[in-house]
Amino acid sequence: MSLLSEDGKKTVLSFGDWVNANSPEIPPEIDYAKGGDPKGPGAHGHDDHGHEDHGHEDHGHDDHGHEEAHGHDGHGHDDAHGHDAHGEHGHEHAHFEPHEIVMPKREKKPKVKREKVQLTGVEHSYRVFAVISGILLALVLLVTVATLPRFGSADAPAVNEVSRRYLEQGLTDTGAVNAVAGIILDYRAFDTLGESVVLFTATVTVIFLLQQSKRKNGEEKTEDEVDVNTGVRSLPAKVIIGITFPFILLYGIYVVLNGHLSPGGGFSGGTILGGGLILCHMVNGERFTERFITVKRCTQIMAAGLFVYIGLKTYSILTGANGAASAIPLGTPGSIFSAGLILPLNICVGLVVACTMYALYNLFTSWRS
Amino acid sequence: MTLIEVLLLVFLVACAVSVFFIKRLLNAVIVFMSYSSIMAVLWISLESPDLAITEAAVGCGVTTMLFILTLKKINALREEGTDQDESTI
Repeated sequence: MSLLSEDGKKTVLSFGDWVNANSPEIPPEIDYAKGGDPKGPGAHGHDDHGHEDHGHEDHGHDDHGHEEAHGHDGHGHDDAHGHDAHGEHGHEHAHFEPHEIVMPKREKKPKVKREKVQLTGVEHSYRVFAVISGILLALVLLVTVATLPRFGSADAPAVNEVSRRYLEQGLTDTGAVNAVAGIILDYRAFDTLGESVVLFTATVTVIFLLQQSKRKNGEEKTEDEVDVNTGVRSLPAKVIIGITFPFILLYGIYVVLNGHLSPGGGFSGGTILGGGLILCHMVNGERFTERFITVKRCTQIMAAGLFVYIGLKTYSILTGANGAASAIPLGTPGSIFSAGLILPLNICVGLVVACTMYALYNLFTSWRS
Repeated sequence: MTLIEVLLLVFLVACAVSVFFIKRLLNAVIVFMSYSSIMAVLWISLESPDLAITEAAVGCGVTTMLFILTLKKINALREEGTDQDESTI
């Protein structure tokens, strides 16, 4: 009994006491009948009571058992009928068949009210604290937003000589029609390198973790032991993906290659590519996608992309730092072969991002704890 | 601010708040996805199409897929009491 009361399952406990009077082995069954589903057995219909009261009664339970159980039944106004019925049946029959009859009536309740029960005093104060701090945070954020300068106003702090320089000189400096691409892949290319390295590191870490668990006993698991995605059986999904998959890839490639001319670039285009691959993997299964891309190839592509990126940026940083003119022409602004290094850098970033997305998805899919 | 933007913003807040109160995890993920698509439209109205594309691709696409994969892995996609779900996602 004390075990049950530790979890704060008051109603279970009161029932347990009822049961104890009749048969010693019932508590689990009661638990199930009461909770309505085996996963969340602690859910009862007592939510509208003060939680502290429950806590007190809880302690009482340990000491008195029967009387407190009675009192509890009186409290449960929602379930009052059910309780009484249970109690009477329990008295009549030592075996607890009636619960299986009563159960369907209250199937839905636990789902709705699951979280409100089971609070000890400490948890209750945590919850109060969480609400208060949440409200405070919201207030602070709202006040901050209220004091922000208007969108696009001329005296905003963001309008300074840096942004003016980017906007006025960006085209002649970088050759990119899309100013954003010019900033993130030319002026601030080092940031983008860092972001790509973060993605690469994340993938490597995930590979490390998940493949360790694959080879637990020194030998690779066979196919039965690893979750191999076999795809879905739904025909409409297959047809739709079969039609749209080439277009998704094409659009992703377009966004990557056109990054210096139109909105988009390596990150968004790479994500679109990765999303397309993930969809294909979802629907057609591992056997289909592994013909053209595997996790191993993903890591190779990512490493190659990063090295090319580093090499290209090393060149441009060296020439820029020494005041030497870059040998790479900027080209005519607006044409596809323009903007110097931005196009190859975009391709590198796009490959890294696409492979990250796909590799993460693939690893998580095939992993089984 | 035009009327459509106000509507979108109201819907955005509604989506953001309702995620907390939705009990079924799959529905919450779908609402979260709609939040991202609304946000993508709002980015366009704020004249930042680059962010809009990224938001649509990352927030609406890949994040949703990873969430659904997670739900699948923890067996949360299955409705309790029924075990019709045998397809692999």
